Amino acid sequence: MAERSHAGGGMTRRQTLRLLGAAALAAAVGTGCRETAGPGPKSSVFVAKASGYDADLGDILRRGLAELGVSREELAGKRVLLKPNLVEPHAGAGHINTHPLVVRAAAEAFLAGGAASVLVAEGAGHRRDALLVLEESGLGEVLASEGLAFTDLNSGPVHLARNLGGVSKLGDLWLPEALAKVDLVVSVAKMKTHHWAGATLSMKNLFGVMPGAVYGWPKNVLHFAGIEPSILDIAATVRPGFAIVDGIVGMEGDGPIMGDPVAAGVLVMGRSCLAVDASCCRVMGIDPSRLGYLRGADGRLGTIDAARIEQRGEALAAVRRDFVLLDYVPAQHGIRLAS
Amino acid sequence: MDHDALKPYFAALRERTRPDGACALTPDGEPRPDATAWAAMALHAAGLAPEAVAAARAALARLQAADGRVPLLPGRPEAAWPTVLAMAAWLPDPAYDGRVRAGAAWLLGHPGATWKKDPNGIFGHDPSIKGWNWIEGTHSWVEPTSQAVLVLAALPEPPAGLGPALDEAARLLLDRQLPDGGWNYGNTRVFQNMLLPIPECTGHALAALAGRAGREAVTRSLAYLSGPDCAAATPLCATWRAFGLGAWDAAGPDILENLAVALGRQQRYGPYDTPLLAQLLAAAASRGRFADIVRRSAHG
Repeated sequence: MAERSHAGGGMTRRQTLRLLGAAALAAAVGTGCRETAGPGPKSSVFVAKASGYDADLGDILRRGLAELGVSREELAGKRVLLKPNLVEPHAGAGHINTHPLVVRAAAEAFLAGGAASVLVAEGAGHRRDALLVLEESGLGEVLASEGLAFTDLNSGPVHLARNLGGVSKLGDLWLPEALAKVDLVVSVAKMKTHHWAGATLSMKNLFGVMPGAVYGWPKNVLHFAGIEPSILDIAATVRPGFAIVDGIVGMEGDGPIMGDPVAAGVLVMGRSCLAVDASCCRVMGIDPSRLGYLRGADGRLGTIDAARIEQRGEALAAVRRDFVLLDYVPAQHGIRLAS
Repeated sequence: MDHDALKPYFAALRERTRPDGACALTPDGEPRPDATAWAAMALHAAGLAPEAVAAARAALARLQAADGRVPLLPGRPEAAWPTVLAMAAWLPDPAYDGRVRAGAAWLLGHPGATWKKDPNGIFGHDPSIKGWNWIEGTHSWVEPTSQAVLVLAALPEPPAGLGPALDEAARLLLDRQLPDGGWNYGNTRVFQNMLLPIPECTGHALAALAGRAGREAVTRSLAYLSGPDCAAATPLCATWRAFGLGAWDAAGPDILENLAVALGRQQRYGPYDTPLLAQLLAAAASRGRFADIVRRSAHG
């Protein structure tokens, strides 16, 4: 129930029509993530192997930024917000969350790249005690040792932002003021299958920017509005400028909480959340065009077309690890990527 | 717990109250009704600053809508979860009985969304049972249901229909209890997996169920909440562990001392938001007795 109401998570016909209209608007005015659809430049996604969290993750992410053409001039003076996935930490279940060492490495990479500051921020989906979330996830210790600041997006001040997606029935979106005070939002997600959405990656991770004080714990308003339309609206409005997905140990089966750990051994990153998520799906053995929200975003927030995503680093075939999909979970039916 | 040790934290809380009675969410932030309500409750529980408590109650009264709710933001009336907190702040003072009645009427008229249980469905709980929600129009969840029970049960003049509503809410909480003990935000089984408990949710449910369920019905949950999985000295965990166990006469010295430890950890994490700070103080001052905070008393 936490993840979907009886109203369901998919898109209605009316929402599909809204989506088509919004896509036309996006094409006209350039709404959406930084790499847009159309016959323009391809998206680039960097995939790196990482056998464990003891690898030099900072080096991997710095290399990724360089491969993706993120220059020092581009990051200079930027205030960066890292948004990990800490939906519902439990002690001893690290595969639920973005690993703290990935967050640390991301902070290191952006600061080394010239960013003025890094803030870590999350609005946990199911838990109101943000400090307990930090302690049980292990992130609190890393933040303390690195001197990194944390903001609870669930409970702080909010502002009303125009909904640039217009797909769901959410209307304008209440967003944390913390988002308005940074220059670059980075979705630092976990690679997981998901029992309502098929997979949760850098776009679904954005549910965590929505303040619980306004949308509830769980964020039931988003479930009643439809998970997939809500993802599209939030992604179009928040417009993260970068995505990093922790697939070193991901989750398969009954994600996002109760699935099993899977050592996929990868980090995936790029400027386009959509392209990153599409590549992650291919790593997981999932056809991105079979996930409603990725299909809905295709051509609007970027591309999921493999031919238009320039893969850097490891070839996808070399790191593919088919995540277990469950017969009894409808959202995971028929989404396996053909070999 | 040494009450002198609480003085600097109460002083910090007082510094966040404005002349108009409203309380800032953060030391340098804007007021918010949940901050004002919890500040009033904490000060009242400690018998401190009656003028500030009175001003806070008046500030909350100015936020109450004509239909009885107290919304988080003027532009977001659906986020009406502060209503029950405002009622808790008002309850000790008879001058606010009318506002409490209006809040209760709104709550009783706005339970969480329900639907028929599917015996072969993917959810373990019974979604047809009514409780309360965080946001108007959504499903009932454990914490808002528990808070509503705690406050509605303390009404000096129970309105018509209150008894059955409280009974149903208690039934909801028991239905959402996990088989091995504890509660999370409000799901039990989803698909084939039983979900995991969360300390602060468990504390809420146990506090609300005291006097409404037999000890045998919550034995495993009491064990979970008093055990090592719930021993973290973080604000909501420590607060609601004390309120949950306190309601069952099980908040021993270590449970109460953990509140002071949690307060002290602001040295690591920085100043807590006012609702967190005030909840810890309310739990400490009341020695884990939420019922004492909303009870009408001499220093009302």
